[in-house]
Amino acid sequence: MQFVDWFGDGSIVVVDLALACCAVESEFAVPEGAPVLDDVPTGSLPVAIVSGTLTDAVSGLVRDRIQSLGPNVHVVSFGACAAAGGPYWDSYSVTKGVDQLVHVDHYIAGCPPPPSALTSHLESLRSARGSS
Amino acid sequence: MSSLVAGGVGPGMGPDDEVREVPAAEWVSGVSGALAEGFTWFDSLHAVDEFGRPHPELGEHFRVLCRLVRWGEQGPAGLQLHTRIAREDPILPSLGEIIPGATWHEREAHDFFGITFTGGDSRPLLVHQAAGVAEPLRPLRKDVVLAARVTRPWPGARDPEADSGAGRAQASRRRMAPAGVPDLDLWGARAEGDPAPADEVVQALQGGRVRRRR
Amino acid sequence: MTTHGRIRLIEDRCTSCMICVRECPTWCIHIEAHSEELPPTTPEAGLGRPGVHPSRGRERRHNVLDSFDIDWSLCMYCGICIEECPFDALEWAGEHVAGTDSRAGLVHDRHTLGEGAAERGQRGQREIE
Repeated sequence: MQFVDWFGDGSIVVVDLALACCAVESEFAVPEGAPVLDDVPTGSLPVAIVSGTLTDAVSGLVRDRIQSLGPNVHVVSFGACAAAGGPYWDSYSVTKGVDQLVHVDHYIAGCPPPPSALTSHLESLRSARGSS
Repeated sequence: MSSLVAGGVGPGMGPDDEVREVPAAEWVSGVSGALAEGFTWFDSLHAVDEFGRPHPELGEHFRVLCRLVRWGEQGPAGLQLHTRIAREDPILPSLGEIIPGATWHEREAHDFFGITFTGGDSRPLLVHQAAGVAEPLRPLRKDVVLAARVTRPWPGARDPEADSGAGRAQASRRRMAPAGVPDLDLWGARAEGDPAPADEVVQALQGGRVRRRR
Repeated sequence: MTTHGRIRLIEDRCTSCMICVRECPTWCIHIEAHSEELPPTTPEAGLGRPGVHPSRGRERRHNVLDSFDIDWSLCMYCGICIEECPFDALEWAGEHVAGTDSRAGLVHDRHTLGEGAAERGQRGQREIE
C-alpha cells in the first residue's frame, strides 16, 4: 500500500481505497507534491479513505487492508456508495456501505462529494491531534 | 457495454449509423462481409432483451448487435449489424475467429444475458455466480428482479389521505407500486422451486396504479 | 449554473403530495403526513353534490406534513425531486451536505432540510419589493 503524507509533516498518512468514480474527487484532493511513503511512520495517524462503490467481490480485500492498518486507523467513507451503496444499493453485487465491514469514523456525503470536503475533514483531524 | 454516446461524428453509437438486420445463420459471414467493405474498426458488441416485443418467427428474443466503424476521408462511418436469437437457450456463433477482441464483449453478454457464443469463450468476466446456486443470475434479463427493492419498503406506498381514513375505499381498490419492482400480489406468492414465468414477472414490474389479480 | 449541493425544503409550499417520494430513483425521500378536515365552506357552495352535508357544506381535507427526511447516503443528486415538485417546495441550495460521524447523521429531517428557507423567503420578498 502507498501512504500519502498529506501535510508533509508525518502527522496524517492517507491510504485512498479508490474503488469507483468518487476516487476522481478524492485523488484530486491530494496536495501536490505530498510525499508518498511505503509505511506508516511512528506517531502518524493512519487514515483509510473508501471512495467509490464497494462490491461484494472486493469487500474482503478492503476489510483486510483497513484492518492491516491497526486499531488506530481512522476510516473515512467518501460519498454515497461507500456510505450505504448510494444509487446502487439495489444491485445484486454492491455492499451496502463500508460500515458493514469495519467501523467508520466519518461519513462525507455527496455523489460525488467535493474534494474540499475531504481536505477540510483531514485538516480538522490534524488540528484536533495537535491540540490534544 | 460501452460507447452509447450519441452523435454521428465520433466512434460512439451514432444516429447516422447504417443498420443491417442479419439472420443468425449469417451472423459471422455478415460481419466478415462488413470487414471486407472496410468497416474494420470493432467498436462493441451488445445484447438487448426484447422481452414483450415478440419476433414473428422467434417469439420472445434477444437482439445482438455488433458495431463497426470505417475510417475514411469524410470521417468515421458507423455500421451496426443486428441479429435476433430465441430467448430460450440463446446461442450464436462467436465472432472470435474474425475479431478476437469481440470475445471480451461476448463474455459480457454471456454474463449478463446467458447467451452462449459457440466457439467462443464463456468464462465469467464480470458476474461470478454464487456457489451452490442452481439457476445462474443473468442480471440484464428483463425478468430478473432486484431483490433488494423487493425487501425494502417503498416510501412512495404511503398515501396521506388513505392513511388518515379519507378515501379508504378508493385506496383499497388501487394502490401505488414502484416501477421495476414486482407487485407481490402478482409475483411474490409463489412456492419454492416454482419460479414465476417471465411474462408474469415483467408484467409485475410495470409499476404505477396496480389492480390486484385476486 | 446549478451547484448540485444539498437540496432545501421550503416547507410551507409542501402539500405532502408524495410525488417527489415516488419519483426518486433511489428511494431516499421519506414523508410522513396525515390529512385533516378543513373548516366547512358555505352550504350554498356545494348543495346537491355528493359529499356535501346539507347543513355544513362540502367536506374539505388537506394534508399536514409530519416529517420529511432525505437520506444523503442514498441520494444521487439527480434533482428529479426538484424538477417534479409541482409546488416548487424543493430547490438546490448551494452548499454541500455536511459530513458526519454517524450513518444516521446522513438522514436530514425537515428542520435541517429547511435551513435557510426562511432567510431565502425574506430575500425573495425584498427582491419583489
